[in-house]
Amino acid sequence: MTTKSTLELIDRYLNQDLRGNELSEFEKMLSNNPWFRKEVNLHKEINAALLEKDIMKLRNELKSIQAKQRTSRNKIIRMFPPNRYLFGSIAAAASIILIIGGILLFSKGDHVSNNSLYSNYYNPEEAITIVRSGGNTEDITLKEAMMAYQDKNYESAIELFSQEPQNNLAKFYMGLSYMETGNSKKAIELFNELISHQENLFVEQAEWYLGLSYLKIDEYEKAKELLTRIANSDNIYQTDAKKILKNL
Amino acid sequence: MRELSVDEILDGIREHHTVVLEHIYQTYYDQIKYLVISNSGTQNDAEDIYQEALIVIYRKLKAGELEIENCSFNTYLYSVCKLLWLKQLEKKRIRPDELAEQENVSDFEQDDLLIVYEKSEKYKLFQKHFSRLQSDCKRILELTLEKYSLREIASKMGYGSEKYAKKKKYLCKERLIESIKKDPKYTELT
Repeated sequence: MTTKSTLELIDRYLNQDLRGNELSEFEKMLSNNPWFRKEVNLHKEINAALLEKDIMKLRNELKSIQAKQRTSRNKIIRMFPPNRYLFGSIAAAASIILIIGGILLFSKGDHVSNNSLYSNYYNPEEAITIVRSGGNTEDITLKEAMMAYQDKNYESAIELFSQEPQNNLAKFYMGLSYMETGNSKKAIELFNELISHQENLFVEQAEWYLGLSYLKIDEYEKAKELLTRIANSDNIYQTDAKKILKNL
Repeated sequence: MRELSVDEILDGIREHHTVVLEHIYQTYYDQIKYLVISNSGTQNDAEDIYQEALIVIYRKLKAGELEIENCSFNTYLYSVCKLLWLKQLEKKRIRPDELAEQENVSDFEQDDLLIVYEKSEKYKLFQKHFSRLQSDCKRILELTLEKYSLREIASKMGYGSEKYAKKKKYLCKERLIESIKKDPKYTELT
């Protein structure tokens, strides 16, 4: 835990603002105390990282290109369900025409119901592999839950995920499982918990799926509010959110 | 789109040229995806590795340290992705049985790429937590790093006093550092 005064001291040191006694004491601490050295180094690296605006910008750009390409590819797949391979290159050509048609249709807006927007943009999230060195019960439960989720066995996935109520990963995938079973209310509850909690890695995804869940149950205003927030942030679903908003 | 030369691709990456970045994605992403997914990875892993490989390449370009000799951009990108994915698998203690040794990147360059990657991962984590701060916190920290004085910060942010600006600045910094330290990924990376 860093106290405020240490924070200030480190800050001043990094700005080369320390003089005389203060400086020599600081340097003594640096050489005697490995913990302190690590702390100062962390602050230094954070400062350097925050100055990398070009990297942050490039990463966002790459993310949005991926998101854009992903949606356009998924659309093609959805239009040609299982036997799409039979169509071969004709399908590719036809799908382009269909997509253009789709865009024209979409741009009329009022012909598209919220529910069809939902199914157009809802992509089931892939299960993630949990591999940790230890084999405690939590890991094992999560692993089984993920396998159930992967096998589209959502009822048992929910059952298993609910055994780890404190785990954010479990919460997120439980929400997704509820979406799959059509229980949007439960899904909304879980996504809201993740978002209000903030300290986890699922906030961005939870916001997106929460927005879609609202669409599903025709909570039009709430969906719109949330999607607007996503569209104005650097959320990975930014581009998708913008597209939906256009159609709402 | 016609075939781009290595130099055109590198210039495009250096300048964040959207058309070039899209072209690279369309042309090369599928094999990276196949590489990762067929070796214990998910689609998200594949996207992440692809993204981070390009960031690593950009970092090397910016430092003037990138040389692609005797191979196409495709081969180079593939080698970098493979190297980064092997590193991730090692962290997850998964032994890849199918991935052969690197043929196109020298041992020396591999070490160097991994050093850049390690730093990049760490900075990515810091940047992610930064991006999640409230916007006034982000702004204050940016102004601080751009060497604005507390007086200037107070006036730009519309705060009544320098004292308040100072208090707020350290509060924001503390919040950022705490959230980074709480992230399990942080312990993993340090």
